[in-house]
Amino acid sequence: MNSSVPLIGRRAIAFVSHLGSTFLLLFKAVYHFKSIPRSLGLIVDQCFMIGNKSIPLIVIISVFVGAVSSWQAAYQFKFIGAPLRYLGSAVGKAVVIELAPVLSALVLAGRVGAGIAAELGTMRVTEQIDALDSMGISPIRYLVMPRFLACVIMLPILVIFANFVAIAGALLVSVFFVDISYETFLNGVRFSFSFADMMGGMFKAATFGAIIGIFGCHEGFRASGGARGVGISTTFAVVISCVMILISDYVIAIILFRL
Amino acid sequence: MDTLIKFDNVFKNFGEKEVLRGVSMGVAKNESVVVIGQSGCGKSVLLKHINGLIKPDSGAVYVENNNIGTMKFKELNTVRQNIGMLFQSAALLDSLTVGENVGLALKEGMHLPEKERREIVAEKLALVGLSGTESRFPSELSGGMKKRVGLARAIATNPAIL
Ligand SMILES: Nc1ncnc2c1ncn2[C@@H]1O[C@H](COP(=O)(O)OP(=O)(O)OP(=O)(O)O)[C@@H](O)[C@H]1O
Ligand SMILES: [Mg+2]
Repeated sequence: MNSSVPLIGRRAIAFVSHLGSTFLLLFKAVYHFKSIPRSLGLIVDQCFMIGNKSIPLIVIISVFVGAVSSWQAAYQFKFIGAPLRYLGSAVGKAVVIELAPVLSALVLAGRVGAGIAAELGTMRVTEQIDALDSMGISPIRYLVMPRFLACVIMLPILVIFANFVAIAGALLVSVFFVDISYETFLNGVRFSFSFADMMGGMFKAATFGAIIGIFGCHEGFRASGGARGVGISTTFAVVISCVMILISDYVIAIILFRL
Repeated sequence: MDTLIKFDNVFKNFGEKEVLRGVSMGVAKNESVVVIGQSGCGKSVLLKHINGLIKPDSGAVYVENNNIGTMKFKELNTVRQNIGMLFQSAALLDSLTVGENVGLALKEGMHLPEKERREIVAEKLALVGLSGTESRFPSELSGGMKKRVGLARAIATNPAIL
Protein backbone atom coordinates (compact mmCIF):
# COMPACT_ATOMS: atom_id res chain seq x y z
CA MET A 1 0.00 0.00 0.00
CA ASN A 2 1.07 3.55 -0.66
CA SER A 3 2.07 4.92 2.74
CA SER A 4 1.98 8.55 1.53
CA VAL A 5 -1.80 8.34 1.61
CA PRO A 6 -2.74 8.63 5.26
CA LEU A 7 -4.80 5.87 6.84
CA ILE A 8 -7.94 7.98 7.05
CA GLY A 9 -7.72 8.77 3.35
CA ARG A 10 -7.41 5.11 2.48
CA ARG A 11 -10.41 4.30 4.66
CA ALA A 12 -12.44 7.02 2.95
CA ILE A 13 -11.49 5.73 -0.49
CA ALA A 14 -12.38 2.18 0.52
CA PHE A 15 -15.74 3.37 1.87
CA VAL A 16 -16.61 5.34 -1.27
CA SER A 17 -15.69 2.42 -3.51
CA HIS A 18 -17.80 0.16 -1.30
CA LEU A 19 -20.81 2.45 -1.76
CA GLY A 20 -20.05 2.52 -5.48
CA SER A 21 -20.18 -1.25 -5.76
CA THR A 22 -23.44 -1.24 -3.78
CA PHE A 23 -24.92 1.20 -6.29
CA LEU A 24 -23.70 -1.01 -9.12
CA LEU A 25 -25.51 -3.97 -7.58
CA LEU A 26 -28.61 -1.78 -7.24
CA PHE A 27 -28.52 -0.95 -10.96
CA LYS A 28 -28.06 -4.61 -11.84
CA ALA A 29 -30.99 -5.58 -9.61
CA VAL A 30 -33.19 -2.95 -11.27
CA TYR A 31 -32.02 -4.13 -14.70
CA HIS A 32 -33.26 -7.62 -13.82
CA PHE A 33 -36.77 -6.23 -13.16
CA LYS A 34 -37.30 -7.24 -16.78
CA SER A 35 -37.40 -10.84 -15.56
CA ILE A 36 -40.10 -10.16 -12.99
CA PRO A 37 -42.76 -12.19 -14.86
CA ARG A 38 -40.74 -15.41 -14.82
CA SER A 39 -39.44 -14.83 -11.30
CA LEU A 40 -42.84 -14.20 -9.72
CA GLY A 41 -42.66 -17.35 -7.61
CA LEU A 42 -39.32 -16.32 -6.13
CA ILE A 43 -40.57 -12.80 -5.40
CA VAL A 44 -43.77 -13.98 -3.72
CA ASP A 45 -41.76 -16.40 -1.57
CA GLN A 46 -39.52 -13.55 -0.42
CA CYS A 47 -42.46 -11.22 0.27
CA PHE A 48 -43.96 -13.92 2.43
CA MET A 49 -40.70 -14.56 4.27
CA ILE A 50 -40.19 -10.86 4.95
CA GLY A 51 -43.76 -9.81 5.61
CA ASN A 52 -45.42 -12.61 7.44
CA LYS A 53 -42.67 -13.33 9.90
CA SER A 54 -42.11 -9.65 10.72
CA ILE A 55 -45.66 -8.93 11.81
CA PRO A 56 -45.36 -9.99 15.49
CA LEU A 57 -42.23 -7.88 15.84
CA ILE A 58 -43.91 -4.87 14.21
CA VAL A 59 -46.93 -5.19 16.50
CA ILE A 60 -44.83 -5.22 19.65
CA ILE A 61 -42.61 -2.28 18.74
CA SER A 62 -45.51 -0.23 17.34
CA VAL A 63 -47.68 -0.52 20.46
CA PHE A 64 -44.83 0.82 22.55
CA VAL A 65 -43.79 3.47 20.03
CA GLY A 66 -47.37 4.81 20.05
CA ALA A 67 -47.65 4.56 23.82
CA VAL A 68 -44.43 6.36 24.59
CA SER A 69 -45.00 9.09 22.03
CA SER A 70 -48.40 9.81 23.53
CA TRP A 71 -46.97 9.90 27.03
CA GLN A 72 -44.02 12.05 26.00
CA ALA A 73 -46.18 14.49 24.03
CA ALA A 74 -48.63 14.86 26.93
CA TYR A 75 -45.70 15.55 29.25
CA GLN A 76 -44.43 18.30 26.95
CA PHE A 77 -47.93 19.71 26.34
CA LYS A 78 -48.38 20.11 30.09
CA PHE A 79 -45.03 21.83 30.40
CA ILE A 80 -45.78 24.45 27.72
CA GLY A 81 -49.47 24.63 28.61
CA ALA A 82 -50.78 23.48 25.19
CA PRO A 83 -54.38 22.23 25.05
CA LEU A 84 -54.55 18.42 25.27
CA ARG A 85 -57.18 18.18 22.54
CA TYR A 86 -54.26 18.58 20.10
CA LEU A 87 -52.48 15.56 21.54
CA GLY A 88 -53.89 13.27 18.84
CA SER A 89 -52.76 15.70 16.13
CA ALA A 90 -49.18 15.81 17.34
CA VAL A 91 -48.90 12.06 17.93
CA GLY A 92 -50.67 11.09 14.70
CA LYS A 93 -48.40 13.20 12.53
CA ALA A 94 -45.25 12.09 14.30
CA VAL A 95 -46.19 8.43 13.92
CA VAL A 96 -47.18 8.60 10.26
CA ILE A 97 -44.30 10.75 9.03
CA GLU A 98 -41.44 9.68 11.21
CA LEU A 99 -41.81 7.16 13.99
CA ALA A 100 -43.49 4.23 12.27
CA PRO A 101 -41.31 4.26 9.13
CA VAL A 102 -37.98 4.87 10.85
CA LEU A 103 -38.35 2.61 13.86
CA SER A 104 -39.89 -0.23 11.84
CA ALA A 105 -37.04 0.06 9.35
CA LEU A 106 -34.37 0.03 12.05
CA VAL A 107 -35.83 -3.10 13.61
CA LEU A 108 -36.29 -4.78 10.23
CA ALA A 109 -32.69 -3.96 9.29
CA GLY A 110 -31.85 -6.25 12.19
CA ARG A 111 -34.33 -8.94 11.31
CA VAL A 112 -34.57 -8.91 7.52
CA GLY A 113 -31.26 -7.32 6.50
CA ALA A 114 -29.25 -9.60 8.74
CA GLY A 115 -31.21 -12.61 7.50
CA ILE A 116 -30.47 -11.80 3.86
CA ALA A 117 -26.78 -11.11 4.49
CA ALA A 118 -26.32 -14.30 6.49
CA GLU A 119 -28.15 -16.45 3.94
CA LEU A 120 -26.37 -15.07 0.89
CA GLY A 121 -23.05 -14.96 2.76
CA THR A 122 -23.32 -18.64 3.58
CA MET A 123 -24.23 -19.37 -0.03
CA ARG A 124 -21.18 -17.42 -1.16
CA VAL A 125 -18.65 -19.18 1.06
CA THR A 126 -20.08 -22.64 0.29
CA GLU A 127 -19.79 -21.98 -3.48
CA GLN A 128 -23.58 -22.10 -3.98
CA ILE A 129 -23.45 -18.76 -5.78
CA ASP A 130 -20.61 -20.02 -8.00
CA ALA A 131 -22.76 -23.07 -8.72
CA LEU A 132 -25.60 -20.83 -9.95
CA ASP A 133 -23.14 -18.92 -12.15
CA SER A 134 -21.74 -22.17 -13.50
CA MET A 135 -25.24 -23.26 -14.56
CA GLY A 136 -25.74 -20.01 -16.44
CA ILE A 137 -28.29 -18.76 -13.92
CA SER A 138 -27.71 -15.15 -12.95
CA PRO A 139 -27.45 -14.95 -9.14
CA ILE A 140 -28.61 -11.35 -9.42
CA ARG A 141 -31.86 -12.37 -11.03
CA TYR A 142 -32.29 -15.49 -8.93
CA LEU A 143 -31.22 -14.17 -5.51
CA VAL A 144 -30.78 -10.38 -5.40
CA MET A 145 -33.69 -9.05 -7.46
CA PRO A 146 -36.43 -11.01 -5.62
CA ARG A 147 -35.08 -10.05 -2.19
CA PHE A 148 -34.59 -6.41 -3.12
CA LEU A 149 -38.04 -6.09 -4.67
CA ALA A 150 -39.70 -7.91 -1.76
CA CYS A 151 -38.12 -5.45 0.71
CA VAL A 152 -39.30 -2.46 -1.35
CA ILE A 153 -42.83 -3.85 -1.51
CA MET A 154 -43.17 -5.17 2.02
CA LEU A 155 -41.73 -2.29 4.04
CA PRO A 156 -44.53 0.16 3.11
CA ILE A 157 -47.14 -2.52 3.81
CA LEU A 158 -45.64 -3.27 7.20
CA VAL A 159 -45.47 0.45 7.94
CA ILE A 160 -49.17 0.98 7.17
CA PHE A 161 -49.80 -1.77 9.65
CA ALA A 162 -47.41 -0.17 12.15
CA ASN A 163 -49.26 3.17 11.80
CA PHE A 164 -52.55 1.64 12.91
CA VAL A 165 -51.05 -0.30 15.78
CA ALA A 166 -49.01 2.68 17.01
CA ILE A 167 -52.00 5.01 16.96
CA ALA A 168 -54.01 2.40 18.84
CA GLY A 169 -51.22 2.23 21.44
CA ALA A 170 -51.20 6.02 21.71
CA LEU A 171 -54.97 6.02 22.08
CA LEU A 172 -54.84 3.60 24.98
CA VAL A 173 -52.30 5.68 26.86
CA SER A 174 -54.27 8.88 26.23
CA VAL A 175 -57.51 7.40 27.47
CA PHE A 176 -56.15 5.61 30.51
CA PHE A 177 -53.35 7.87 31.68
CA VAL A 178 -53.75 11.33 30.16
CA ASP A 179 -57.43 11.65 30.87
CA ILE A 180 -58.81 12.64 27.50
CA SER A 181 -61.67 10.79 25.80
CA TYR A 182 -60.98 8.59 22.83
CA GLU A 183 -63.20 10.87 20.68
CA THR A 184 -61.07 13.87 21.52
CA PHE A 185 -57.91 11.95 20.71
CA LEU A 186 -59.21 10.57 17.41
CA ASN A 187 -60.60 13.96 16.37
CA GLY A 188 -57.12 15.30 16.93
CA VAL A 189 -55.63 12.56 14.74
CA ARG A 190 -58.19 13.23 12.02
CA PHE A 191 -57.65 16.98 12.20
CA SER A 192 -53.96 16.67 11.40
CA PHE A 193 -54.12 13.72 9.02
CA SER A 194 -53.09 14.45 5.46
CA PHE A 195 -52.82 12.11 2.53
CA ALA A 196 -49.57 13.76 1.48
CA ASP A 197 -47.99 12.94 4.86
CA MET A 198 -49.11 9.37 4.53
CA MET A 199 -47.56 9.13 1.05
CA GLY A 200 -44.38 10.72 2.37
CA GLY A 201 -44.20 8.07 5.08
CA MET A 202 -44.77 5.33 2.50
CA PHE A 203 -42.06 6.77 0.27
CA LYS A 204 -39.68 6.72 3.22
CA ALA A 205 -40.62 3.13 3.97
CA ALA A 206 -39.97 2.03 0.38
CA THR A 207 -36.60 3.78 0.41
CA PHE A 208 -35.65 2.14 3.69
CA GLY A 209 -36.75 -1.21 2.24
CA ALA A 210 -34.45 -0.64 -0.74
CA ILE A 211 -31.57 0.17 1.62
CA ILE A 212 -32.13 -2.93 3.75
CA GLY A 213 -32.49 -5.18 0.71
CA ILE A 214 -29.53 -3.94 -1.29
CA PHE A 215 -27.06 -3.76 1.60
CA GLY A 216 -28.17 -7.19 2.85
CA CYS A 217 -27.52 -8.67 -0.60
CA HIS A 218 -24.32 -6.73 -1.23
CA GLU A 219 -22.68 -7.61 2.08
CA GLY A 220 -23.78 -11.23 1.74
CA PHE A 221 -22.25 -11.45 -1.74
CA ARG A 222 -18.98 -10.01 -0.47
CA ALA A 223 -18.64 -12.51 2.37
CA SER A 224 -15.50 -14.60 2.28
CA GLY A 225 -13.56 -16.99 4.42
CA GLY A 226 -16.18 -19.11 6.17
CA ALA A 227 -18.36 -18.70 9.25
CA ARG A 228 -16.34 -15.81 10.60
CA GLY A 229 -16.57 -13.95 7.31
CA VAL A 230 -20.34 -14.43 7.19
CA GLY A 231 -20.61 -13.03 10.73
CA ILE A 232 -18.59 -9.96 9.82
CA SER A 233 -20.67 -9.35 6.68
CA THR A 234 -23.93 -9.74 8.56
CA THR A 235 -22.94 -7.29 11.26
CA PHE A 236 -21.77 -4.81 8.69
CA ALA A 237 -25.01 -5.14 6.71
CA VAL A 238 -27.06 -4.20 9.78
CA VAL A 239 -24.83 -1.30 10.81
CA ILE A 240 -24.55 0.26 7.37
CA SER A 241 -28.31 -0.15 6.76
CA CYS A 242 -29.17 1.63 10.02
CA VAL A 243 -26.80 4.50 9.28
CA MET A 244 -28.09 4.86 5.72
CA ILE A 245 -31.71 4.73 6.91
CA LEU A 246 -31.17 7.67 9.25
CA ILE A 247 -29.21 9.68 6.69
CA SER A 248 -31.78 9.13 3.96
CA ASP A 249 -34.57 9.96 6.43
CA TYR A 250 -33.07 13.39 6.87
CA VAL A 251 -32.56 13.88 3.14
CA ILE A 252 -36.16 12.88 2.37
CA ALA A 253 -37.45 15.13 5.15
CA ILE A 254 -35.80 18.25 3.75
CA ILE A 255 -37.03 17.42 0.25
CA LEU A 256 -40.62 16.35 0.99
CA PHE A 257 -41.58 18.15 4.17
CA ARG A 258 -40.60 21.75 3.51
CA LEU A 259 -40.76 24.14 6.46
CA MET B 1 -10.05 -32.34 -34.59
CA ASP B 2 -11.43 -28.98 -33.45
CA THR B 3 -10.31 -27.66 -30.10
CA LEU B 4 -13.17 -27.12 -27.72
CA ILE B 5 -11.23 -25.49 -24.91
CA LYS B 6 -8.02 -23.56 -25.31
CA PHE B 7 -5.83 -21.95 -22.65
CA ASP B 8 -3.40 -19.38 -24.01
CA ASN B 9 -0.58 -18.41 -21.66
CA VAL B 10 -2.85 -17.94 -18.62
CA PHE B 11 -1.47 -16.30 -15.49
CA LYS B 12 -3.34 -16.07 -12.20
CA ASN B 13 -2.20 -14.78 -8.81
CA PHE B 14 -4.03 -14.51 -5.53
CA GLY B 15 -2.30 -11.61 -3.85
CA GLU B 16 1.38 -12.57 -3.64
CA LYS B 17 0.69 -16.20 -4.40
CA GLU B 18 1.33 -17.32 -7.97
CA VAL B 19 -1.12 -20.10 -8.82
CA LEU B 20 -1.15 -20.39 -12.62
CA ARG B 21 2.06 -19.48 -14.40
CA GLY B 22 1.60 -19.38 -18.15
CA VAL B 23 -0.72 -22.30 -18.73
CA SER B 24 -1.30 -23.18 -22.38
CA MET B 25 -3.25 -26.22 -23.42
CA GLY B 26 -6.02 -27.43 -25.67
CA VAL B 27 -8.81 -29.92 -25.24
CA ALA B 28 -10.44 -31.46 -28.29
CA LYS B 29 -14.01 -32.55 -28.74
CA ASN B 30 -14.81 -35.95 -27.20
CA GLU B 31 -11.45 -35.94 -25.49
CA SER B 32 -11.17 -36.77 -21.80
CA VAL B 33 -8.45 -34.92 -19.97
CA VAL B 34 -7.13 -35.56 -16.51
CA VAL B 35 -5.35 -32.80 -14.62
CA ILE B 36 -3.20 -34.20 -11.84
CA GLY B 37 -1.22 -32.34 -9.25
CA GLN B 38 -0.55 -31.88 -5.60
CA SER B 39 -3.29 -30.65 -3.35
CA GLY B 40 -3.39 -26.87 -3.59
CA CYS B 41 -1.43 -26.65 -6.85
CA GLY B 42 -4.29 -24.98 -8.73
CA LYS B 43 -6.45 -27.66 -10.35
CA SER B 44 -9.74 -26.19 -9.16
CA VAL B 45 -8.59 -22.70 -10.07
CA LEU B 46 -7.73 -23.95 -13.56
CA LEU B 47 -11.21 -25.47 -13.99
CA LYS B 48 -12.97 -22.33 -12.79
CA HIS B 49 -11.30 -20.42 -15.64
CA ILE B 50 -13.16 -22.52 -18.19
CA ASN B 51 -16.59 -21.17 -17.27
CA GLY B 52 -15.34 -17.76 -16.24
CA LEU B 53 -15.92 -18.08 -12.49
CA ILE B 54 -12.33 -16.84 -12.23
CA LYS B 55 -10.87 -14.43 -14.75
CA PRO B 56 -7.18 -14.70 -15.72
CA ASP B 57 -4.77 -11.90 -14.80
CA SER B 58 -3.26 -12.22 -18.26
CA GLY B 59 -3.64 -14.59 -21.17
CA ALA B 60 -6.97 -15.84 -22.44
CA VAL B 61 -9.32 -18.80 -22.27
CA TYR B 62 -11.33 -19.86 -25.31
CA VAL B 63 -14.35 -22.13 -25.40
CA GLU B 64 -15.45 -23.06 -28.92
CA ASN B 65 -13.17 -20.25 -30.13
CA ASN B 66 -14.98 -17.61 -28.06
CA ASN B 67 -12.89 -15.68 -25.58
CA ILE B 68 -14.49 -16.17 -22.17
CA GLY B 69 -12.92 -12.97 -20.83
CA THR B 70 -14.36 -10.55 -23.37
CA MET B 71 -17.77 -12.14 -23.73
CA LYS B 72 -21.02 -10.35 -22.91
CA PHE B 73 -22.82 -11.61 -19.84
CA LYS B 74 -25.65 -13.13 -21.86
CA GLU B 75 -23.34 -15.06 -24.17
CA LEU B 76 -21.33 -16.23 -21.19
CA ASN B 77 -24.48 -17.64 -19.61
CA THR B 78 -25.27 -19.52 -22.81
CA VAL B 79 -21.77 -20.99 -22.87
CA ARG B 80 -22.09 -21.88 -19.20
CA GLN B 81 -25.27 -23.83 -19.83
CA ASN B 82 -23.16 -26.03 -22.06
CA ILE B 83 -20.59 -26.72 -19.35
CA GLY B 84 -21.38 -29.06 -16.47
CA MET B 85 -19.31 -28.44 -13.39
CA LEU B 86 -19.09 -30.60 -10.30
CA PHE B 87 -17.82 -28.63 -7.34
CA GLN B 88 -15.36 -30.06 -4.86
CA SER B 89 -17.83 -29.30 -2.06
CA ALA B 90 -20.82 -30.31 -4.26
CA ALA B 91 -22.25 -26.78 -3.66
CA LEU B 92 -25.88 -27.88 -3.61
CA LEU B 93 -28.35 -25.11 -2.86
CA ASP B 94 -29.35 -26.05 0.65
CA SER B 95 -32.75 -24.34 0.55
CA LEU B 96 -33.82 -26.57 -2.36
CA THR B 97 -34.59 -30.29 -2.41
CA VAL B 98 -32.42 -32.77 -4.28
CA GLY B 99 -34.93 -32.84 -7.14
CA GLU B 100 -35.04 -29.04 -7.38
CA ASN B 101 -31.24 -28.88 -7.33
CA VAL B 102 -30.84 -31.34 -10.19
CA GLY B 103 -33.63 -29.63 -12.16
CA LEU B 104 -32.52 -26.07 -11.45
CA ALA B 105 -30.79 -25.38 -14.76
CA LEU B 106 -33.63 -27.08 -16.62
CA LYS B 107 -36.15 -24.77 -14.96
CA GLU B 108 -34.35 -21.44 -14.65
CA GLY B 109 -32.03 -21.74 -17.64
CA MET B 110 -33.92 -23.79 -20.22
CA HIS B 111 -37.50 -23.21 -19.03
CA LEU B 112 -38.63 -26.79 -19.58
CA PRO B 113 -42.15 -27.66 -18.42
CA GLU B 114 -42.54 -29.35 -15.07
CA LYS B 115 -43.33 -32.85 -16.37
CA GLU B 116 -40.33 -33.00 -18.67
CA ARG B 117 -38.10 -31.75 -15.87
CA ARG B 118 -39.32 -34.44 -13.52
CA GLU B 119 -38.48 -37.15 -16.04
CA ILE B 120 -34.96 -35.87 -16.65
CA VAL B 121 -34.32 -35.44 -12.92
CA ALA B 122 -35.45 -39.02 -12.23
CA GLU B 123 -33.29 -40.31 -15.08
CA LYS B 124 -30.14 -38.49 -13.91
CA LEU B 125 -30.66 -39.47 -10.29
CA ALA B 126 -31.01 -43.09 -11.39
CA LEU B 127 -27.70 -42.77 -13.25
CA VAL B 128 -25.91 -41.83 -10.03
CA GLY B 129 -27.78 -44.50 -8.05
CA LEU B 130 -30.00 -42.16 -6.04
CA SER B 131 -33.47 -42.87 -7.42
CA GLY B 132 -36.30 -41.66 -5.25
CA THR B 133 -34.34 -39.07 -3.25
CA GLU B 134 -36.00 -36.10 -5.04
CA SER B 135 -37.78 -34.70 -2.02
CA ARG B 136 -34.90 -34.89 0.45
CA PHE B 137 -32.83 -31.88 1.40
CA PRO B 138 -29.04 -31.73 0.93
CA SER B 139 -28.55 -31.51 4.70
CA GLU B 140 -30.06 -35.00 5.01
CA LEU B 141 -27.49 -36.57 2.67
CA SER B 142 -24.06 -38.03 3.31
CA GLY B 143 -20.97 -36.42 1.77
CA GLY B 144 -20.77 -39.01 -0.98
CA MET B 145 -24.45 -38.71 -1.77
CA LYS B 146 -24.13 -34.93 -2.05
CA LYS B 147 -21.27 -35.41 -4.48
CA ARG B 148 -23.42 -37.73 -6.57
CA VAL B 149 -26.34 -35.29 -6.58
CA GLY B 150 -23.85 -32.61 -7.66
CA LEU B 151 -22.84 -34.89 -10.52
CA ALA B 152 -26.49 -35.48 -11.49
CA ARG B 153 -26.99 -31.71 -11.53
CA ALA B 154 -23.85 -31.20 -13.64
CA ILE B 155 -25.07 -33.65 -16.32
CA ALA B 156 -28.75 -32.66 -16.19
CA THR B 157 -28.53 -30.44 -19.27
CA ASN B 158 -26.38 -32.92 -21.22
CA PRO B 159 -23.56 -30.39 -21.45
CA ALA B 160 -20.89 -30.73 -24.13
CA ILE B 161 -18.16 -30.06 -21.58
CA LEU B 162 -18.04 -31.71 -18.19
N1 LIG C 1 -10.15 -17.40 -3.65
C1 LIG C 1 -8.86 -17.62 -3.35
N2 LIG C 1 -8.16 -16.69 -2.69
C2 LIG C 1 -6.86 -16.91 -2.39
N3 LIG C 1 -6.18 -18.00 -2.71
C3 LIG C 1 -6.82 -18.98 -3.37
C4 LIG C 1 -8.21 -18.83 -3.72
N4 LIG C 1 -8.58 -19.94 -4.39
C5 LIG C 1 -7.50 -20.73 -4.42
N5 LIG C 1 -6.43 -20.15 -3.82
C6 LIG C 1 -5.08 -20.74 -3.71
O1 LIG C 1 -4.75 -21.26 -4.96
C7 LIG C 1 -4.11 -22.48 -4.81
C8 LIG C 1 -4.73 -23.52 -5.71
O2 LIG C 1 -6.03 -23.84 -5.22
P1 LIG C 1 -6.92 -24.99 -5.88
O3 LIG C 1 -8.22 -24.97 -5.18
O4 LIG C 1 -6.95 -24.80 -7.36
O5 LIG C 1 -6.13 -26.31 -5.52
P2 LIG C 1 -6.38 -27.78 -6.06
O6 LIG C 1 -5.27 -28.06 -6.99
O7 LIG C 1 -7.76 -27.88 -6.58
O8 LIG C 1 -6.20 -28.62 -4.75
P3 LIG C 1 -7.04 -29.89 -4.22
O9 LIG C 1 -6.50 -31.07 -4.91
O10 LIG C 1 -6.75 -29.92 -2.75
O11 LIG C 1 -8.49 -29.61 -4.52
C9 LIG C 1 -4.11 -22.86 -3.35
O12 LIG C 1 -2.82 -22.70 -2.83
C10 LIG C 1 -5.05 -21.88 -2.72
O13 LIG C 1 -4.50 -21.45 -1.49
MG1 LIG D 1 -9.48 -28.68 -5.94
